[in-house]
Amino acid sequence: MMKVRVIRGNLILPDRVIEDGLLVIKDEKIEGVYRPEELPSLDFVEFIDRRNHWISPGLIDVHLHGALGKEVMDGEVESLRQMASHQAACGVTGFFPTTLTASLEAMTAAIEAVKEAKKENLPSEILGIHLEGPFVSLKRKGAQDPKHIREINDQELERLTESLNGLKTLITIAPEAGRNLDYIKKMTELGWVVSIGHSDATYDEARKAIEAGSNHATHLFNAWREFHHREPGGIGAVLDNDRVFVELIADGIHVHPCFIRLAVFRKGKDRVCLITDSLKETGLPDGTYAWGGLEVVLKGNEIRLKDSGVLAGSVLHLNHGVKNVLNWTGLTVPEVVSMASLTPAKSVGLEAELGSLEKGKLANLAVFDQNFETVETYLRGRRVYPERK
Amino acid sequence: MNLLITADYRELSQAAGQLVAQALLHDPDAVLALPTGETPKGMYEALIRLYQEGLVDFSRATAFNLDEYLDIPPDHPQSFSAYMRRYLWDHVNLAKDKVHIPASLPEDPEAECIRYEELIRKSGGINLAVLGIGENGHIAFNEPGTLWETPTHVAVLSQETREREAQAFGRLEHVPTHAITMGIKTIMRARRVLLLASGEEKAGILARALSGPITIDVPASILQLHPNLTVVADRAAARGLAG
Repeated sequence: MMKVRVIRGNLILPDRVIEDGLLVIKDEKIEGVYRPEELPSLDFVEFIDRRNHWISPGLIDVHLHGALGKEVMDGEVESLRQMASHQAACGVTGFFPTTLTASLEAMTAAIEAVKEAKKENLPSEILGIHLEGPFVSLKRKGAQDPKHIREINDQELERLTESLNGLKTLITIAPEAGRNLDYIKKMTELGWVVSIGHSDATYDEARKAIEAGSNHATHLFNAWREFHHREPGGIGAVLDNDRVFVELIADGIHVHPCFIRLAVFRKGKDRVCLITDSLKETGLPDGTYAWGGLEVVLKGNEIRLKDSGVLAGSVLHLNHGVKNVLNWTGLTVPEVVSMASLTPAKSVGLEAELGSLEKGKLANLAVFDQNFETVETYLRGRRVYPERK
Repeated sequence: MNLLITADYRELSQAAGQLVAQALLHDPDAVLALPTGETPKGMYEALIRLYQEGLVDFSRATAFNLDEYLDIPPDHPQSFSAYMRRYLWDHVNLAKDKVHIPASLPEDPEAECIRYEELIRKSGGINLAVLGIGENGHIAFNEPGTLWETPTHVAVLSQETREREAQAFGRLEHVPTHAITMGIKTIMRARRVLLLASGEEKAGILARALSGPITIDVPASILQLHPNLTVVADRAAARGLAG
């Protein structure tokens, strides 16, 4: 017998909310969204009543490095398992593990682990990989390791392509560095999404990158050339273009809420991807952690170097990013949730199967309480959070 | 779902009467959908008493019956219009032009269904639908197997339903074979639903309807999905319900 289930709650669709709506799931797909009086005649084997809760499409994070003490650069499948389990707890059903600037060997080790982990039934699906570096700008390196920052060349592109072996790829590059601009076309022809980031590009340089096929911007405002009214830089170029998707870290620390508003209202919900860029300490209790030779202190939603007090990165949960943007912009729930689901899915070309509660898409969803805390997460119709014992 | 379990049928009737009265106090122009059968008789008695005491006013309300038999004259003692006159209409101040029941001898039953559904729509939709539950799980005359998509329609009465009415009609052959009934969809569109169940013979089906799978084999099971359902059951009928 076909397994048909129905979940009741406030359904978040791309353009509206259906209060006390019914989401019908058949096996691993969405059969439809209905008001009670519109239901087709189906036999439901299970009724999951989540009244007064949001039923959201599963969130999608295209940029995160680690969680629960583990990170992509460990090059281990177990690390990705831990990360996936944390994502499920945040209502995230699909993500792009993100590498850091490193040696080719370290990168290919990370890629191999990601490919292995992708084959497993993880509680949040690995949709592809985000290579953040190493072809970035020394000047805008942020937390990227300067000793591994380099220019791209044919041989390295070939080695990476070979290792990736068709894995969906998003790559952050600085188009102005070396000959990187010349490689944008090649990368898009490989099917990669090319994102401008960690870049000192001028307005004109960024425009050229966009013309060459780049249509994504990595954590806009962080590690970019300053936005200036006579030299708008890359920030001006991507904000001024209607095609480019922009990532935003909405933790209230990396980008001032004022700039979140400026970007969101300029780009609109269809071009903003909320991301976490989260580090391996994400999801751990407050405390002091070792970071190579350094020590970092995690306290609440901030993580700083112990000695200098410098911001070390993000420990944001994506569902909290959604809540923050709701508070800062006054936009509607469907608009803001789209920025963490349908829009990131579109930015990587996966919107046919993912990103919204629509008939025929995968039954990936998150149940949030009124405060956008995760109550349950479902992946392909199967509950993955809380884990069934 | 709000579940109210009463000690006995008398308390159930009072509680149901009060809930309908509250709906009218809250909105004097409320549109009601009303049932026939054994269970609601006590509720109507309670409503008449509340009316006589001046606590409830029907003058601005609209009442639709859930259903009516086909192929019997409206003055037939077993018709639902006769029932409604006997147990409610003749005793309260409902306005004549705001009381509706499907015609039992329509020229074109299909056209009558469309007219009735349209009339409900034009009245602004049902605010409160009061329902009983059949031993096979039917609500109004939506027998097991009725599709949820159906609005007001001509229903074929099940053999078991007809056999239960045989005594009232004298013999089985006199029991009508068809009826016009509001559909599942019509009922699900009501803003609020009040389901009544009394007696131990309803205990099994009430439990299946409210906590079993949601299936067209048990029409009342779809009420689990209604956003504003109140169930009033006496202790005997509620016996199978958990909690």
